[in-house]
Amino acid sequence: MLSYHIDKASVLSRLGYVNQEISDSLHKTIDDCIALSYAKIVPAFTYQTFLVHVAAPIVTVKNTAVVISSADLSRLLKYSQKAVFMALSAGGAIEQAIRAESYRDMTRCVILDSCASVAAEAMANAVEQRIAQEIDEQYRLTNRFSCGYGDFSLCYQGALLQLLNAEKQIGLHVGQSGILQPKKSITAVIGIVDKSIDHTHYATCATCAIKENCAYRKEGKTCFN
Amino acid sequence: MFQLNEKLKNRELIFMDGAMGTLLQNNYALAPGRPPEEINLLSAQTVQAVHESYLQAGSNIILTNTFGANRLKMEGYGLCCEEIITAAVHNAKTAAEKYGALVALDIGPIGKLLEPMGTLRFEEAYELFSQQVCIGANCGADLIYIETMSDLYEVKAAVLAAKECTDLPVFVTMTFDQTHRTFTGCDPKSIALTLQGLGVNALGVNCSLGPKDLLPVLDILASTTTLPLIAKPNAGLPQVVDGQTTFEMSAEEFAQSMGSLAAKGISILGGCCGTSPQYIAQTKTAAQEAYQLRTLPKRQSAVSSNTQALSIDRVLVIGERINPTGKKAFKEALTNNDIGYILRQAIEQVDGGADILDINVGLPGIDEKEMMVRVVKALQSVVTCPLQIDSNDPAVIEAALRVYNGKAIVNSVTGEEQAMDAILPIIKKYGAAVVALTLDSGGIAQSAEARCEIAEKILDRARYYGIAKEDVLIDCLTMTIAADQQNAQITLDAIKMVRNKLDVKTVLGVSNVSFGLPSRNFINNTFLTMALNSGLDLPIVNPNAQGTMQIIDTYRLLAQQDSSAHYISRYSAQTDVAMPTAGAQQGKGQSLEYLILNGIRQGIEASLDSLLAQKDAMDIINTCLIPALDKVGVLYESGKIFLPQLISSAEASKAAFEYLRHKVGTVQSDLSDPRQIIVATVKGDVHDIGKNIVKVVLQNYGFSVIDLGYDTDIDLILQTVEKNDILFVGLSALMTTSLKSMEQTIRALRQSNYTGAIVVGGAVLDDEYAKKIGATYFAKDAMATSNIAKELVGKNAL
Repeated sequence: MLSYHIDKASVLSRLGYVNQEISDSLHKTIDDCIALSYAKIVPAFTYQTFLVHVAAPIVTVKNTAVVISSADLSRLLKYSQKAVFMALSAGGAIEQAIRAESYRDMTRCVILDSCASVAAEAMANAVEQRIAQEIDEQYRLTNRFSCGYGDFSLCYQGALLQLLNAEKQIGLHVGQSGILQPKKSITAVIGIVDKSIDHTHYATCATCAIKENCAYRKEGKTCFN
Repeated sequence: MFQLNEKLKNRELIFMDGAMGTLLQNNYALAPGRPPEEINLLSAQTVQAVHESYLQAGSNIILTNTFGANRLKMEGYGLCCEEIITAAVHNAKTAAEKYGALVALDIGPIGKLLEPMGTLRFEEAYELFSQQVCIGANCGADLIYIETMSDLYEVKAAVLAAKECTDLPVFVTMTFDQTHRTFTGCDPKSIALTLQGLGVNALGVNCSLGPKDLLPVLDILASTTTLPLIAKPNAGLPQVVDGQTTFEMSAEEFAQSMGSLAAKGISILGGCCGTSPQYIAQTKTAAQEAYQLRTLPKRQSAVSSNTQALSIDRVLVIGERINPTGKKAFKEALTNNDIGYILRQAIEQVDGGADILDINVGLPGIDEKEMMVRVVKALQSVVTCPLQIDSNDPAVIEAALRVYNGKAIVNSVTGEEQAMDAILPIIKKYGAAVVALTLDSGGIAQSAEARCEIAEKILDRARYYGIAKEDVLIDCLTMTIAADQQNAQITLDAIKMVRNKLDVKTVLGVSNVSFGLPSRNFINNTFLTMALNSGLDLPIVNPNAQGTMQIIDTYRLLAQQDSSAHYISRYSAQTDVAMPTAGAQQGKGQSLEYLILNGIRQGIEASLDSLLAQKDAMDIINTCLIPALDKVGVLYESGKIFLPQLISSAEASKAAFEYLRHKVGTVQSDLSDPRQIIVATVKGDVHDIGKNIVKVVLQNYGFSVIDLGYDTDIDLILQTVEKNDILFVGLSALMTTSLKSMEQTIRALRQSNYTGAIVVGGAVLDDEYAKKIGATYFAKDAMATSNIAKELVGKNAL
């Protein structure tokens, strides 16, 4: 089982909260939605380590047919011989609950949707932590990098799922436009690098797709330290 | 030749094969990324050798190497599924021949998720499977084996294809996770009820977990179905090291566990991932030693959706409100294709306590069949309870049962010859339960005895068509006591009589009893209590009517159908005298503006009532509601309130509009415009929350909105534009990849005669991009969209 935590502050942040006054009843609604999310989410995840070869902008996943063209991913994996590919899903029941809520109460619907997104992100962090514990002492993990970040096209979702046999392993599919089904799901690539290599060589804000809107940067921080 | 039918009938042990893909790949160097099905063409010898190894190990049935051989998957590899399946069946038959073994056409999942979670339509899935089974049957496969499925809906499409295109036996196995459900949430009981109903020959589990972990799932299947059960598990849990997958169980351990399944009466055994011929050989030895016939479960009256099975062993409530009879708003919703209205009715009833929902969408001028299919599909995307299809048109019933994901009830068949012969075969084919009305060509029988006789006649005819009596639910009919006071007693006597004499479950629409009388609710509730006490199992009622659920809940408590703990947890917060809710206190005595600004719905009606005493509805809208909404807009724009608060205010205002409409009929405001606004999430995108927020906010300014949903076909948008007078078309897309589709939609609109405004929105859009793809406006959020709408009707935006 995967343990994860739905952080209320993150739920609020996704909803655009910046210190507005919140009534007791809204607080209660949010707490209810968090509880409902835990009840409806059935976490499923899978990950696997592959040998990779990088010749920017091409990343080749060795012994498979997967070849990814992405300068940003190439930079991330520049010093990695191995990379972990991961996929996870919060399942279909939470999606049905969100859809039902859109007919019952739109306020609860957007809050529940936000809870489920926060949960998926928290699950991804938990999986990443698990991976970090499994790698050899001399290595560390790069940032987690998902399709849609930078120039890593959503078109690769299908290839990632196939690589992990994610349909059979965790019931995760990809629809048109690279949308994951169920929606509250995440796929990502994480490089494994030698600790001796300075992380700024492969992870900088310069290659980051969301550098303009990054919440970390606004606070003068970065996501990788 | 292996005598499958005889073995199944006698419940003798049958041995399947084990893993195929890994063995093939160990013996043939397939290029990375190529599918194992291709080996059928590249090296028939390799495939035949793998088959042969299982036959030598003792398999009675081997699966063709066609797991993913559907057109969609094969086209992706540039392969032709006909060629693959033909070669695969040939390879298997070549190997099986000298062993007298059978060849099963193997069918795995399509690889695309079906509606509502995905976008593959049920009908498309059916077409894909039809192609596979037709080719397989023509090539001489002996049976169809549908496996590794996690979606019961997909299985249903495959089973229907197999049964309609071939006359071969059908086996089905699905995969379960540690929660004992499939990835799409299907539970073993619902699966067993649905598949037994559809007439499969054997069912069970494969892949997923090891034999021991699957035991709880097999136990539930065993207690639900009399069909032979299949177990084809993995060799325990997988372990992945550097890309290499191994499984935890040795052949001995696996065989030992399989032996214990055989001891429980699981008669069809094989292996999945991590198993090999050695596993099968040892399983055969262990199972033959341990096998015991299982005690078959007594047939039960039960219905299900795909995720929720209900045994009719306690009173279950059928919600009656999805029915246009005598309801103006419902009729309007049907005429306007407003499925959202129907879904809200459904959710309210489920929240109110309905266990099953009756669905009736018959209305003159409406294509009942088309509407029924739309409503059934929409309902099963938001509620988990089983449905009751209410129509007397066999074509409508069949269309609904076809797309229903579960075991439904059909309401209804009568004792008329024509009706029985038209409807009962459909019930049998789709494995539904049916409500039998105790009337026939002679009309409604006037005595309890006569109604019981008609019930008996329908049961006989159902038996003739192969329908078990547990699937026939007798309706003893409620007639109004306004016509004859004896009517109630006749119904109650008939309920007792059919239960005692025929040992069947009963169903009854209750509210007819009071037709034509005042204070109907009192009569209905009293009659409901009497009917429950006479043994009624399935009352068809409005669960939201005052007192109804309290009666049913207390009946369940007193009749020991419910635990007192459950009753206490449900009612402990309530007192005998209805108390105003906290919300009502919260909103009590506050101004309409206060209620809207704070998003409080309780108290809206009282506030409007006092305003209506002073001014008319239009005045209230223009001087109170819209200014309040404008204030909300300003607060949102300035960051004083955030999204949930904006929506709460919008919903409070919507409640106010609806109440005014209810009180005075059509309401007009300064913003009223006869033109419609279309909102849709574009083809290929399934994100619709943003679009829904836009809709709510627009509606609350009094605009009329046609919501076309998500993954919207361009044609549907064009048709809707053509049929209506349009203020603007609003398109939403959340993904960079669906912007292309947005652009195509705009181009199609421009190529048609539409010259009006197109407003686009979505996280990845901006003003510049919107202009580039030909949109008239970019709206960054719901408030911005409503400002554009106001501008378009010639009013000042905020």
